[in-house]
Amino acid sequence: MSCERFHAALAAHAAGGDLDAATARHLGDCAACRALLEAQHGVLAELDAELGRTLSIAASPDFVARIAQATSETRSHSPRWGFPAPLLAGLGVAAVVLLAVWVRQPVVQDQGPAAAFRPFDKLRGVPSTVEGRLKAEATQPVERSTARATPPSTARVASAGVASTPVASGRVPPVRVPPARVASGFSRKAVAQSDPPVIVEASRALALQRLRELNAQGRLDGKALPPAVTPETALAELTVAPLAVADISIPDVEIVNRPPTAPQRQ
Amino acid sequence: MNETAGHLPRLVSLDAALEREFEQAVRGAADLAVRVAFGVLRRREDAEDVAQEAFTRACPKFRDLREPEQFRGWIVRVTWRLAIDRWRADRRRETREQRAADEAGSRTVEDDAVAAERSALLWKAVDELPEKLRAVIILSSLQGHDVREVAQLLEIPEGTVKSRLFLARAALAERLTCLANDSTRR
Repeated sequence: MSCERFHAALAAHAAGGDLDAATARHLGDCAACRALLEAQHGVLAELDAELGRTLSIAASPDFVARIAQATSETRSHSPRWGFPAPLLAGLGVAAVVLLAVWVRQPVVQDQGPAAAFRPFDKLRGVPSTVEGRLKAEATQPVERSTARATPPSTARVASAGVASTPVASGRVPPVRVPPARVASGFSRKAVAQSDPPVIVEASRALALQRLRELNAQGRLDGKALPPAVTPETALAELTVAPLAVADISIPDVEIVNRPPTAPQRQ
Repeated sequence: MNETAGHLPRLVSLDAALEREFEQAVRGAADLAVRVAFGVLRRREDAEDVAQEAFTRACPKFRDLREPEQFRGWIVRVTWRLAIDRWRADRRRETREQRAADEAGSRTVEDDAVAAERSALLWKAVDELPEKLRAVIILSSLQGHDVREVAQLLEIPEGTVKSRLFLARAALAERLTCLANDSTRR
């Protein structure tokens, strides 16, 4: 009977497995297999001893110090227990690119009748102080009175730096002013179209003009400035002015204090 | 400015505390890492190089590995992987060098002592095991590492450790017997 078919079972038994009945019977009859099983127990014991002896090695006394030095050198060239330097650099570049795109993005303006009545568009770029607003208005181009729908009771403001014509009958005539300084990469036309016209009442236009003159002379200080205008109050100012509605007269209707009578037919 | 100056020392001390914690973790796992690497490479310098590489890789991740058992398991697995990679590279290089030495007729197998030959046979059988069985055999041979500890280090169930251990020892018993018979016949 060949013993080779029992070798695997003998090895499993030497490794700690159970012995099946057939292998147990064979072991009782075969001295060679009993010797083989004994040899396998021996080599495994020898292996355990060899592994235990070899793997009882300890790290060198300076091993921990070498680790500390290597890791401190690594940390000195990279963020401390944070993001790796390449990731930080990439995030920084992405942030710069996004900022550049956002800054250079032109403001899109609707060019229609509604643009004249959009106070928040005007207020978006208006600084909080009057002096800042004067500077902002000085850079805004002024449009001529065209066929655009504008309320007849309002007048366009004249930008600073231009000699204004004398005011007569409460109306400030529109004045063409040079376009504002254009940032590189933008056309003058694009800037002119992007800056909305400033629409104020005639009396206020006069006041702004006077303030510009004082500012140009260096005589404008905090005491002379009017109180700051908030967006809410400015909006109220812009929307408070009532529409001038002509009186409506209905012919053939007479309002008198007498009982109504039958209407007279013509 | 004083408020800023008052914040900076707290940030510095937090980093310093983390450094001290990392150094303590390294001290606790240094021998383990070196032994795992030595079980594969069997050369102290190579084993310490590999272990040092593993700790260097662990440093930036230490904030997530502050649990001692987690850190030890991570170190063991990374060290094992690095050691195996290096062992394979060394084998390819040694195979080329051995081939060249054979051609030059400079083999000195006959000069090896009996004990060294025996040891080489044993380790040869271990090296021929599949990687998963080899890892279990080496880790379970480390002092103080039972089945539960090995299961924690490798992040596998204890039953898997037991079955792999059984398969590894059975394979080694069979293989070593053949090798022993071959050596006695020569």
